[in-house]
Amino acid sequence: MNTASSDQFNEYASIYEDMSQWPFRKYIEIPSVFQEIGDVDGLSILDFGCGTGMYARWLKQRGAGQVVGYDLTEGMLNYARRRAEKEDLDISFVSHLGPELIGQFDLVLGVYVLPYATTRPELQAMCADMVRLMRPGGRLLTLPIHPVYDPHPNYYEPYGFRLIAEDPENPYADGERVKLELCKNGEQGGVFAWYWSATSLERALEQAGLRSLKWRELSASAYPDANQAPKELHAYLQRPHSIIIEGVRG
Amino acid sequence: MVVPLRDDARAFCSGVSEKLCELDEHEWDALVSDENFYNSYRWLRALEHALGETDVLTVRGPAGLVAACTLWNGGQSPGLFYLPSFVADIPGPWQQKFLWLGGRRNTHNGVSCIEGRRRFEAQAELGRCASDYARDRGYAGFVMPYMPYSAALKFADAIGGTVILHSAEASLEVPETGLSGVMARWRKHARVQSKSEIATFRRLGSRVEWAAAVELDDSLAADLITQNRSRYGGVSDHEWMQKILAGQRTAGVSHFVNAAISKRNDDITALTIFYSFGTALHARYFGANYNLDLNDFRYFVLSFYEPLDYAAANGFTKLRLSTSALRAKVKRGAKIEPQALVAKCVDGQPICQHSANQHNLRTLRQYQDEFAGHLCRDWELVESNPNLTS
Repeated sequence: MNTASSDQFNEYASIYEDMSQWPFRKYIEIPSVFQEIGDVDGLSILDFGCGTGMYARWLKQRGAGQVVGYDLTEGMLNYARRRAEKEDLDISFVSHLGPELIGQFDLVLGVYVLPYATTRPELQAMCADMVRLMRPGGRLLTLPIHPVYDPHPNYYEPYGFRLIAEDPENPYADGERVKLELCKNGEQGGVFAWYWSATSLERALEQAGLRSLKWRELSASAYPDANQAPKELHAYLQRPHSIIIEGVRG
Repeated sequence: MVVPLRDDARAFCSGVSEKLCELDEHEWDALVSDENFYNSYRWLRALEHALGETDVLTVRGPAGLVAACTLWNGGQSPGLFYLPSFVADIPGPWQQKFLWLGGRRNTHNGVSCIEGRRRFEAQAELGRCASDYARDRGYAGFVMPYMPYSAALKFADAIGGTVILHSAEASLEVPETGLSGVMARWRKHARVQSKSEIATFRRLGSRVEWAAAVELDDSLAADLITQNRSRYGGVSDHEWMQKILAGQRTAGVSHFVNAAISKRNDDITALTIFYSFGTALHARYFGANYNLDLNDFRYFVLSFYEPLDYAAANGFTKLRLSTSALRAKVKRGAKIEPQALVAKCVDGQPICQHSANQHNLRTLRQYQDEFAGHLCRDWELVESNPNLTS
């Protein structure tokens, strides 16, 4: 993510934190991520693109060892630092990845960061940055835009946002710019993201040194069957806007 | 890079807010950088608990709060918060009523505001809102005092205000090796003197303990702090100080308290209260029992020497030592940072920028004369970034 791309988040800290309570995240994304991560007891974890530090705080509360949150957006880091201070959570939030962090982490989590790579070289660099932080055998979990998200502009509106491809005729073009508009409580602003195909994502991750890539669909893990999930979640579960990619550093 | 929604959807709007207690704590604190502890939500709420509610200016964007500050009226008699004494040599309506932005009795202020490209715009809207508030209520203008000089320049640029250098603050960078690392940078004479002070402290039977707020007796702390303030001309009494500390407990500020306490046997002889915030320890209150005839350098041990080791051991990188007794602080390794107020009149009468620049240069020379070799680099901004002459 470059500086201009990160700058767009500066005034969205509170709303991003609030989003953790929106149903698609609360009942689908977050439980899916935790299920995939599994036991974190004692693990050293870096939350890459930590935003307000929501995942970092939860991981620390669930028993992780060293937790570091990394983000380029000062507005997000202010929120993350103030909140962790008040909750007495020993988490370091940084805007720079120093050499002391290289190869230190059992797990790197990158939620909604790859969509903010604006070019293919930037996507490659971002993947390399994440993998470099992992110890050999360490895991990466990352959530890009789903390669087959629903490109209908209003599809996700009931979930509080719109994903609008800049070229609606060609929404799955690699590097296509996508507008993410927040609209849960009226028009609340928005940011630009970039769509990357499954092939591009896999290539970038593998070139960065990741092995054993697995794709995991998001699910409402509290419900044994998706049909038993609340009806209002069904459309999202059918076409989630994101997906989990997991891999191991070789 | 922000999505170009309709202009009215992206525009900021401002106003006199609902009460501070009705604003979301975390949303407020998202605007508070590591350096702006005294405008953090809990500190401001503590002041409200102790001293009563104040109005709050807020600026909002489509996604929520983007800038905010509390208001007060400054001091009405000479002292740390008396505007005429800051600007005596600059023509202006200083004897009239001015609105003060920032927390009450703050000696370090920053604008609580979003970061990034739209910060300028958000600050400008806050300035417009402060102007309207001041005009509507009969103030001659408004000021935000005790700002780091560089931050004052940016705020003044955004609101069309004037930067007036009026104070300075001491701070110490904390090396990983704590006190020994700082001493290693000193001349031999200074090292010998500090070691002698520490040795005297111990020889007289004093020792240091660190305490969290839960271990502190507010009444005793208020007594010691009041003794110290009275000794140096302060007029606030024990009850006032206890009210301040009680407000901090109610608001949860005590969560950030780290107190260095000096003891002889089981008697507390002095204390310095620090607040940990971000990467800094902020020294705020020193108190001592002056009924004891002790010349044991407890002020320096509690406020400089011990905190350096404590800060290093706990990952803090800066000690913020406030605005008083700069000479003593400089002798023990502190750097001096310039502080300015940003002023704006609301009746159309401009503040003479030339006079303000001359004042700033005179103030700069005074500090250069008195603290040569101990000024941080921000002082260079005083000469290189004058107010634009109108």
